[in-house]
Amino acid sequence: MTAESTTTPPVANTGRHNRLRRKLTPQKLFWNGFHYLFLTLASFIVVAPLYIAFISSFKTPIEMLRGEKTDWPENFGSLTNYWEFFDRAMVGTAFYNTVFVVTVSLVIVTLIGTMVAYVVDRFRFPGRRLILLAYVVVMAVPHITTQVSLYQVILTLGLVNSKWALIVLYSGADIVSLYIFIVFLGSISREVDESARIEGANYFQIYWKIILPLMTPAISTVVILRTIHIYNDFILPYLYTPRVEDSTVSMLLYRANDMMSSTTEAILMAGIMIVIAPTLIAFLLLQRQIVSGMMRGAVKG
Amino acid sequence: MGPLTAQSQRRLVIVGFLVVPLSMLTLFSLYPFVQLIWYSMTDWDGLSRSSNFIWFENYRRIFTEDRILLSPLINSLYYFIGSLIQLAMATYFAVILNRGMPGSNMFRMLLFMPFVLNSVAVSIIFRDFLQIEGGLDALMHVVGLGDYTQEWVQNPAIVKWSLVFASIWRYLGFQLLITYGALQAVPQDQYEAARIEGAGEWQQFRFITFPTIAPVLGLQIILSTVGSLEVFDVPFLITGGANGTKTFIMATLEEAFEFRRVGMAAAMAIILLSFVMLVIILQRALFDRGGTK
Repeated sequence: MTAESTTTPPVANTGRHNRLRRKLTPQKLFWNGFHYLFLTLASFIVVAPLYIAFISSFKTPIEMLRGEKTDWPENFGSLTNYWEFFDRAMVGTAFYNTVFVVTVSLVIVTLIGTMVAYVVDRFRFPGRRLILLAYVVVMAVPHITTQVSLYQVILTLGLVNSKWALIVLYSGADIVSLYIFIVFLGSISREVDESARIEGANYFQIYWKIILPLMTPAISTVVILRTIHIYNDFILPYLYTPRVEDSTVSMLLYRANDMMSSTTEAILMAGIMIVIAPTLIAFLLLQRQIVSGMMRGAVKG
Repeated sequence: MGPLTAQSQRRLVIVGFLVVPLSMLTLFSLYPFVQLIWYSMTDWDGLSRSSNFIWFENYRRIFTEDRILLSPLINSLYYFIGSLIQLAMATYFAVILNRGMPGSNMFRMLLFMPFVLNSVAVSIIFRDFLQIEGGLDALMHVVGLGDYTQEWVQNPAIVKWSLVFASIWRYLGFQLLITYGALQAVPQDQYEAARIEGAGEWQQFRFITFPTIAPVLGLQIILSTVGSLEVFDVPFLITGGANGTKTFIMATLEEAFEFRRVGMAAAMAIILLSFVMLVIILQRALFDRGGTK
């Protein structure tokens, strides 16, 4: 899509390299064809289910029942099913809830994560190793396994059936982001904050005015990873916010799926398109940032 | 700075910055973990005020009544095999995309795209795609494979592979990116030198690419093992566990939230957790030897 990704090796521009590239033997031609064939096939398999869901979202109930799934819809571009989905489901509420949960969680996770990273990386104090150890142990325990007892904690706090259950779990229990912050800060030289210290800045000013801005690359990685995760997550909303008024977009689709029958399948497909459209658009626009953020974050995972 | 001495200012920052995060860590991670161990030795139903301490009765039942443990474990095996296939495909695509052939960026983007999509949306799309006379069958008719259509979700012999397919569809691109990231560490002039020496495609992969990305591949196998024990979204939303597709997490959550046997569910979670820990410890033992992290 975009011109050159930052990740392509710079060596590709040297003349010598190009000369070697251009020498196409029949054998090389065969292998290139082979590779392109597989790439095309894989891309086709990726796109096919999405394409069929997309064209289905424009079909009438009769078209859905009568024809093949691959048939082109009679009224392509007609938004009847889309309006119908808006009428039947609380789309606005779900989007509002999702954006609210994502935003608040990201603010909390960024503040908490950078604060812990700052203290743990820049200070030596008793108990520091113990804290690091606790985080490492907790990171090894998959969160999905402790839901049975975690549910009781959230219940005791009175947060079941509240968006705040999701917010505290997405931010307070997110160890991976914290780990990304700690590793990143470890790679930033201490000289910057030491010289600020000499000039009379206090520790809080150093955190707020120096460390936090320096952490921007790590923060953007975390923002990308967490936004994708929270927007798409199903299990936490399923367990903690089952009511309609607290629905996130995942629960919106889950509930719609339960209510719909075979005659309203096309409407459900329209709902799916409504939910995945923002992600797809964001993905196309921010492709490069997402890909590099993913690679940076994934290495730590 | 003000009335505070440097020492007390330092203490204030350390305590002030850690108090909220550490309470959250305790409340949402450490305490539930300890609580889980306790629950697993009781017969608590999740509602009543009292429960009996029954030692290892829950564990005994899990290991003696094999319907609880065996079927989810077999399912995990399918996902594990699937994840190995996925890793092989991801590595292949990462290697050829890393050469910067024309169109590489577009292919990389397309293959990665499913990962950013909502999991409920993806699951419903796949449920429709795989149903009888669904999208897959229609496509097979179009390309002339109409005689080979199957009951992808209804046939117990096939449904597990269908779910594995959906899972590969979703996560292939993510794995491709991780491998691709590792490949960036291979210096391009090594390939050039190898080509001058007359090394073929396979030899280049075998002697240059593979040794560099081997640690990352090893790590991915571990992550896949853990991941295949923790599958939930896709099978839950496509089949709801029907036809013998129930996974470990599905069984555990069902036990806790539908059958109201929290004690039993906790014991199952502990067993799952022990498997995961075992895998991680094995990984540490195998990979730490080189002194790498």
